[in-house]
Amino acid sequence: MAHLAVLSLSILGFRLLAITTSQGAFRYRRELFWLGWFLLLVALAVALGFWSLGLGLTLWLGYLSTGAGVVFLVRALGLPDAR
Amino acid sequence: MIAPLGARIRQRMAQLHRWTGLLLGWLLFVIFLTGTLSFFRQELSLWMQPERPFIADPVPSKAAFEHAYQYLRQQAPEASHWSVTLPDARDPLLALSWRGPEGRGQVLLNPLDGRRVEARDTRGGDFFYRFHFQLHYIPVLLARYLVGIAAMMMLIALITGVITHKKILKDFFTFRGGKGQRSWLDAHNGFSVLALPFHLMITYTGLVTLMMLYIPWGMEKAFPEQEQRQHLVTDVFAFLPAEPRSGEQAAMLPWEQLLAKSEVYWQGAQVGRIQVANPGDRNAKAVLEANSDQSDILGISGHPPFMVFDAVSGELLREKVLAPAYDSYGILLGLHLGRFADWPGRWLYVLLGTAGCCMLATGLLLWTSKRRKKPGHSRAGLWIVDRLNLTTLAGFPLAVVAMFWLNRLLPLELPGRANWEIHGLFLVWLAMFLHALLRPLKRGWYEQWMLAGILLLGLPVLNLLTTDRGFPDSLLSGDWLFVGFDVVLVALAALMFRFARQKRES
Repeated sequence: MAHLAVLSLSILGFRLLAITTSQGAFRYRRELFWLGWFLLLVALAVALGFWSLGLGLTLWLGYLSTGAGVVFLVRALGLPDAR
Repeated sequence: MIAPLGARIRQRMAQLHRWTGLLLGWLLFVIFLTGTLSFFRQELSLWMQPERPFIADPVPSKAAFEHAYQYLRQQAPEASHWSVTLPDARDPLLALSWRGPEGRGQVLLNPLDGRRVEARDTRGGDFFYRFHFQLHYIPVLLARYLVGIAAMMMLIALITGVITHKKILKDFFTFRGGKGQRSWLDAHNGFSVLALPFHLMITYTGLVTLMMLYIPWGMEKAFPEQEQRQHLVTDVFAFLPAEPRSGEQAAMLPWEQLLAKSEVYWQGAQVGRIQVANPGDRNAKAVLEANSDQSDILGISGHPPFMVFDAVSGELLREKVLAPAYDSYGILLGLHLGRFADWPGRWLYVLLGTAGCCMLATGLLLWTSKRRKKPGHSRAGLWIVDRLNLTTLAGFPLAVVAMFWLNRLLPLELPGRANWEIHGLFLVWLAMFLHALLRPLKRGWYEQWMLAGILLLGLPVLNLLTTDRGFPDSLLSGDWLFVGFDVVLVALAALMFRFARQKRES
């Protein structure tokens, strides 16, 4: 359950960061950008809450990479020119 | 004030990145792939020995050890050394080994009834684990130095890659598909940057794992005498030095007492392995080592705690010493091995390891993609790199799948069967090399990906036909390891077919 929560928060956080750093104009870009970072911090808090400091940090970093990777792959597979 | 990095420095770093990445890139890919497979070392061994019975819940250590003790007392009473690995969540069987004046032996026991399990001769997942840091067919020491040099190159390539990459944050999610060289660059950046903490961690801790081999001078300076080094080993490792038997028989303490004592001492952490020196003798000693797969109690260290007892009186003789430097080393080792991780954590390691393989593969392909367009570039160099890319990036994974086929096809009575599985892997890899040399490049990629896909897709069928652990039976009995293996094989086959199709259409 903790694994799923940290992974989901990482994917959501990076998804927001990916959207807000893409080309094109839309509303609430700034707010969503910071919300993305905030979600990554929440993922850290959840990891540290569920696991010990060492294990929590290790798994959080791992899930950050996986979350970012999932967002990257979804964009890469779905969009021919994802920027 | 620190001056910004000039274009010249960045250019130099880019050159260093290109050449450190290329020269040992193929070896690094093979090391990374086998290392990634090693995170499922036990699971691969279980799959490669389908004769092992499926046991849903691990048997408690005390009940299991009683069977081991009875077996060793009957079969190896004269042995000077017994070793028992207790069942756990990953491997439900008892693994026993012994050595003594009458030779050595090892056996697997079913912990439910103490019966011997006759499993096929294979190196299983251990082959990938060993190959990952000491390769095969070449002297171990030489291989370890070679792997160390490759790991150092990888570390340099990672650091220079970060310096070279100007817009590391801006390009974080950039991917420009269908644009040849630019797409390979984006894919390479994606796999590298997104999993950068993992790549840095796994490369650095990999070097640390064998640091005593690569930089032994600190140890030699601090402990110049052989005796001192021996003393250090017995202090920090769960190791029983050879001691002579007294010749006087003595009853050993009931094992429940020692198991209970150690588990109380380790705040409930379970014993993973027990070794006994001089069993049944007045000089009998026992070392109990905790199972490292208990991160909630023991943390992530790769060096679990242990205790050495006088097996006759029960007196505690020594235990793992607390030493900050050694404990730091244990944590770095633990991070590299990932033994602390539960199954989602292990999958995380595998996914990130796969990202590492993809980073190396895209880097190697980018090198050729860039040079193909340069009119003055050496055609011979490009031809060789292209063929080595094909042999390594498509041929080696194919050879690994071929090894799984051989595991199911080779006769069980074949002498040296385990070695023949490994020879088979290298023979198939050699065949893929010859194929890469003889076929046109594009056609070669297509054929090797197709063959890999066909072999992957056929493996669940072969498993169904040659064992009683096929998909339907495994699904009905809740044997998720075999079910998961088949599902992963089909998914990988789909990926291989996609690669093949892309090659054909490109």
